[in-house]
Amino acid sequence: MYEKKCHAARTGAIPMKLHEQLRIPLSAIDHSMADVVLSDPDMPPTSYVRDRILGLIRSGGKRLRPTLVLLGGRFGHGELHRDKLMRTAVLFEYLHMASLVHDDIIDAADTRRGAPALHRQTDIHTAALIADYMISRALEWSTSYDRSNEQSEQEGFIHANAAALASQLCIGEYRQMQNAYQVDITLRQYLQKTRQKTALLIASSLKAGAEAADAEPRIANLLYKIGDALGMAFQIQDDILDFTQSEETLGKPAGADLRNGNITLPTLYALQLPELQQAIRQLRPDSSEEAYREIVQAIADSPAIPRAVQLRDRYCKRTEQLIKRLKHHPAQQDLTILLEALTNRTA
Amino acid sequence: MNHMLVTDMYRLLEKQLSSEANIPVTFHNSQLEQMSVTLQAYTMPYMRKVVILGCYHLLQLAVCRHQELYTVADQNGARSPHISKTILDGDYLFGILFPFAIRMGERRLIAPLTHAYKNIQIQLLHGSTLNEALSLLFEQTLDYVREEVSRSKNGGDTDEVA
Repeated sequence: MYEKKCHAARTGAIPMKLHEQLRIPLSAIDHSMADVVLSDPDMPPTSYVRDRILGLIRSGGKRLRPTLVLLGGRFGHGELHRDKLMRTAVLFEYLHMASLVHDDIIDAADTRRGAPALHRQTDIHTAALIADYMISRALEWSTSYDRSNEQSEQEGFIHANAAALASQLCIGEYRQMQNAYQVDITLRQYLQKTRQKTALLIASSLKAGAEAADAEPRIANLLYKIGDALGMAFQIQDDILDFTQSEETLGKPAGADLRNGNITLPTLYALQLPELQQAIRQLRPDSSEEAYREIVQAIADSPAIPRAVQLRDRYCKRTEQLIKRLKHHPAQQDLTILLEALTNRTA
Repeated sequence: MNHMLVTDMYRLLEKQLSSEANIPVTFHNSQLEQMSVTLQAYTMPYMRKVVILGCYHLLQLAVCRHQELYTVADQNGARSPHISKTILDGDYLFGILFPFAIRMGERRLIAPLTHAYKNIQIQLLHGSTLNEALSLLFEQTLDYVREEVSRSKNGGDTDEVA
């Protein structure tokens, strides 16, 4: 029955969510996420902080990072390390949730998932500190000692590496800030920024899951490479959709990246077109909404998009080739499902 | 203040932090001075004191950086480079603590400092002053130093800095 449902989903007969296709226990993840804050002995019994965090958990989300961790775990001895895997998965999702709180402050976003962003519900300072609490409590919770056994050194490293990701992700953000409204960024700089911003976390999540499940280092490293290529394809896809999808689908005006001074791949390619170059260069932070709308539409209609799609497809191809190296592994098909879901080659 | 210890610590941190972050590490404050003097009294390799003081200072900087957000006003939908930098700096300083501590041989310091950082947020979010909250960091670091000194006296793994 399950296989029929998957086949039907893949042929488009019935849409199936990724977590269903990959058999990811979302409710168990959410339950563990709530436990992180509910089990903190240092949190006052009645605290608005706890309530806010539970609210963030309830607001949902794709849970992509824990999915990646659990998926990575299938390439090791996941069944033997369920607890460790779940703790690692929850840690990655908490790090992601906290980063979204900080991102929303940085972007001065009003909403997140249809509800007011946390800093709009509280204030900037409070929201920032709540996110800091989330990161540190998740780290503490995920490495809490088992009563009978001392935490393994390896597990400590996995979680410390996860925490260290924050500093690497920040480097990507610093670069983005420095290059805001800089139209002369090179393809190399764009790829570097994309790797730092998105691919790194996807690759690290897959690898962390494999390591938590005691997979062979060779396999864990291969999963990192798969995650890297997949992450690049995913972000390029995201950058394309920012131009090609309607405001209704996006939930915000198209071309948000360009409006924020973030030069992504479609714009980079469009700058190489004589007919668009000047118009793009004339854009300023205070240019009119109309001016932005026109340029965004022009880019969406230009050869820049098919070119960006080609590069996305090259990363998809790279991902497929790497996945093939795991052809004898039962969970290999799950990686293919993930690739299809994240890159959705309909743009 | 133990000038040499603090200066060596600043030099060490400057090498660790990415130039792209552009974060000044020099930040004299009474708690840092007090910690540098306190460390002097303990029998442990000098380099370990430099590293422990470095970890302590990274966390102190991270907390203080985000605490600056207390005085920022909502930008009414407009992005603010100042707010962005403040948020990123705090995140970066906390994140860099982990590879720094591991690389410099103070892996065991991570858990108590993470615990302290968590409790600092709880305190600040429930009305404590910055000094009150930072005293948790001071106590936790000192507890760690005492444990490590005791451990090395008992012949345990000293986790010496390379």
